[in-house]
Amino acid sequence: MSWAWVEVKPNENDLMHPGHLACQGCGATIAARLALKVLGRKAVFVIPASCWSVIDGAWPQHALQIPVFHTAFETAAIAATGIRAALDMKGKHDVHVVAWAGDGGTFDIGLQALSGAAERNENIIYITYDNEAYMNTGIQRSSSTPLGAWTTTTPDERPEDKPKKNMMEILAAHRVPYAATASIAYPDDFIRKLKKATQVKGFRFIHLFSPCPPGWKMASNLSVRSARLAVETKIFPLYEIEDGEVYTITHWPKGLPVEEYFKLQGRFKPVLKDPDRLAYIQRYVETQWEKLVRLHEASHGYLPEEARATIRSAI
Amino acid sequence: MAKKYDFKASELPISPMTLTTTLENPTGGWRSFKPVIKNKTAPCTATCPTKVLIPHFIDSLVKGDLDMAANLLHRNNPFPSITGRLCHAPCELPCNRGKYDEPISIKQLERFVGDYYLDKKGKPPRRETGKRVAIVGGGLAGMAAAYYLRSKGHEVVIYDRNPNLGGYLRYYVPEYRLPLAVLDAEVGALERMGVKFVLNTEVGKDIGFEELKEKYDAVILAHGSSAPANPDFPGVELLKSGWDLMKEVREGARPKVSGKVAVLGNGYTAFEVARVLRRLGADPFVIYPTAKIRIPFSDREIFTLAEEEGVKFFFAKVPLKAERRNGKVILTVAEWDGKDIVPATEREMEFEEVFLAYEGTADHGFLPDTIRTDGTLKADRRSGETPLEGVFVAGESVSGPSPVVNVIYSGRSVAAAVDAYLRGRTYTPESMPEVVGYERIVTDYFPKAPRVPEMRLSPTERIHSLTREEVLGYTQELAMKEAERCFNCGFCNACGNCYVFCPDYTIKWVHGRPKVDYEYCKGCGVCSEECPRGVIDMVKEREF
Ligand SMILES: Cc1cc2nc3c(=O)[nH]c(=O)nc-3n(C[C@H](O)[C@H](O)[C@H](O)COP(=O)(O)OP(=O)(O)OC[C@H]3O[C@@H](n4cnc5c(N)ncnc54)[C@H](O)[C@@H]3O)c2cc1C
Ligand SMILES: Cc1ncc(C[n+]2csc(CCOP(=O)(O)OP(=O)(O)O)c2C)c(N)n1
Ligand code: SF4
Ligand code: SF4
Ligand code: SF4
Ligand SMILES: [Mg+2]
Repeated sequence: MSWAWVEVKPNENDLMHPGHLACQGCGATIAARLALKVLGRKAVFVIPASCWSVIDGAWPQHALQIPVFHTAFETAAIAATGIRAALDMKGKHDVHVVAWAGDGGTFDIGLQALSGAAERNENIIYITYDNEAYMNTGIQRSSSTPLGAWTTTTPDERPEDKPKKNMMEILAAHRVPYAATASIAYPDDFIRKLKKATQVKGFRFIHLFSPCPPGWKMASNLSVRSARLAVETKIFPLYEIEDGEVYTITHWPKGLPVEEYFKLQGRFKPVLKDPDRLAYIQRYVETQWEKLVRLHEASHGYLPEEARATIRSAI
Repeated sequence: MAKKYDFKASELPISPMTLTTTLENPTGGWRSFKPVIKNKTAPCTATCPTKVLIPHFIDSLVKGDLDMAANLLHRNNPFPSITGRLCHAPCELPCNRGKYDEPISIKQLERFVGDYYLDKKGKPPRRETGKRVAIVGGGLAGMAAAYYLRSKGHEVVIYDRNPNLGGYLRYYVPEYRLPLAVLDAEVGALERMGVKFVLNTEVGKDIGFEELKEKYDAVILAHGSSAPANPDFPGVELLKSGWDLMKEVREGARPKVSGKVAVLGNGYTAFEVARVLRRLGADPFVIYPTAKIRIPFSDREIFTLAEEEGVKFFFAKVPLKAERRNGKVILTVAEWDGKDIVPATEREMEFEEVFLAYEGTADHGFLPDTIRTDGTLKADRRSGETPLEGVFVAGESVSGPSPVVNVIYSGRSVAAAVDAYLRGRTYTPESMPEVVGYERIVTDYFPKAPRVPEMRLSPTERIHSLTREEVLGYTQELAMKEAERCFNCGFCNACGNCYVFCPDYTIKWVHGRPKVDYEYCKGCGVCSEECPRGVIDMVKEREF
């Protein structure tokens, strides 16, 4: 059987209508389609200002076949908390409340509300579809924008000089019951994680990597391929953290050179022209990955065979 | 003055609500390129002379539907149990998987499916056309043509001078390459289909060609090329026939041969005769006219096997003279540069016995002159059409010595031409869609995995038996494991990638297949990029 059909059933829970307003090849729409395949109709999305406010359709249209609550930029977590409370009061405990926010709405402006909800362990699922900038307003940097990337506010002359904020560590520090990274290029992995999340009670967080072809200066057909390369170059590792302590890497990457990923995207043109920066980023990726591998090892007491090939230093 | 509209707040929703869906936006208008789902030709199929539907049958095998696999395989190859043993497998050379790790073992998969189906096949056609076809010669070409013509509902009668069908395959190919049981099963299937055999009947002697032409709506000439064609040099009549030796051995005789023996020949048969001599206990030397690097690809496997078994070779040499002295054969040979004898290279060699194993030639003696020019048949390469209406030729009788798969293709394409002729249609040779190159394969979806090795007896095991099959077939488990390695190049196997990744949900899943909803598809190209096997093309929607 093809890998795709292991977790996906054809024509089951296809709850996103075509005709939505996303650009060609939008990763965030693949993200929502896959999420709804798991969640089904018994779910509510809370969407703060972001591309998804637009994708879902201009009033009076609506692409998702579940209720969507559009809310202010910084309020995804708290609005979701409120809806959760209201549904609970009505006895509708079986409805999943999902905060569905961009990286800007999560890493930056929504962080305070998110931290509050996480700390209170509110019973919601928070999914951030991460396209690594404020795309809806015209590609301004966010604290999720990766080292070396161009955005309109970090132009080619001075591209992003800080590494991407590590949201997963922030969530781990809140000791939430479940936090995971996922990628639209690995639907099986994402679906397994979301299924797991639905079975946990309390605050659940998924950091979902979703390429944006126009924002990344990339052809629309490459969105899945680029997401795959982000994982296989170890730039975006796939893992989960349970109770803020137990780290599990769910996919052991091939460990391709970072250029393989950068090459597809115009936003990394400045890095590709700067060998020192490129080497620096490669080193940075290696050290981050090794840290993660050690956390996995510390959590499980051993490393699987596949792990060895991914690490430079002896372990 | 307009009337003031009076409403109560409670009549309105508490917040703005959507009233309709985005299905109102026909976003298909955004498209510059449109995805087209279209199966293509895999390089293996393109290279297989008879165009076996390789990715198709392997896909059914992977899905565990062995009957469907057999069905698809038989579409273009009626005898996979034979090709699965004898074919030189040119299909495996361009296999895309070979550029990734190792090519698929197509021949072994073919043998596995062929053997699985061997006793199940042979259903009579559903409808009879009432047309009658005579086939002269029940070798592989005649059998292949009979298979396809019979399945189209025509009455088919094979005439053969031998007591049984198979031609070369029955009387000369050794048991360790092709067990008679396999050939008998194939013949049995033809019988069950309702093909009629008239055996021990030589056309031209026991029945006239003109008579056949009159009695039947069409005649196929598939009489092979087995008339001896030895070179002419002094003493050639003193030498033994390698062909007779092969025949005796196939029939069960084990003549005593020992010591240094030579095999003279110009092709594949020389190697095979040497291998048989080795098994009989002799120390054979093959004297071969061309250089080693000039051995054709189709003969290389047998050459390598012979070499492994201890057969020795003298390349680029031709015989000039043979004599018998003191019970030995003294052979004078000289070097051959491909055109001429190299001067002053003559040399005598002493052998216990020398066997002639030159490739045969066709004997068209029983045919009217109108169909021949200088002893060769005039015929179209594919359709086998001759200048005589309703008369066609197939197999080695027209091509000369050829590998089994080419002969099968000849039988199959001539059958298609005859079928068209009988139905009063014009024959159009089959065309192939474009070939899928390696660059279209998304290898990320395929974990590396080594080829499942074929199990071949060791050279020492081999030379100790004339009957034990030298290559063992895959078990079902091994066949499945190997089948799963196939990329299924250019053949939609319903993997679901395009459906799963479509950002617009415009690839729908209809009756187990992907279907594009062009009203909404924005033409992003993700499906085309993520189809692991190059099935989806992006075609320009309009010029600007
Ligand atoms: C020793 C040997 C080993 C081989 N091994 C391989 C191999 O490993 N791989 C491979 O690809 N190929 C191999 N070949 C080649 C293969 O056998 C031939 O390609 C194939 O068998 C040719 O089939 P055909 O039907 O054209 O001719 P044939 O097999 O010669 O059939 C012709 C038939 O016509 C009959 N016939 C002839 N004249 C008349 C007549 N006037 N009236 C009635 N009947 C007549 C004959 O009796 C015969 O049955 C081998 C050949 C030989 C000799
Ligand atoms: C308080 C506030 N500030 C600014 C905006 C303008 N705004 C709307 S969406 C957006 C960017 C959203 O970025 P992100 O959350 O990453 O989502 P994306 O558009 O990339 O999907 C901004 C700045 C706003 N709506 N509200
Ligand atoms: S008949 Fe020969 S060339 Fe064709 S698929 Fe089979 S093994 Fe390959
Ligand atoms: S991978 Fe499969 S379909 Fe592709 S060339 Fe090889 S055998 Fe043929
Ligand atoms: S992605 Fe899979 S299902 Fe879609 S066209 Fe290609 S082979 Fe068929
Ligand atoms: Mg963003």
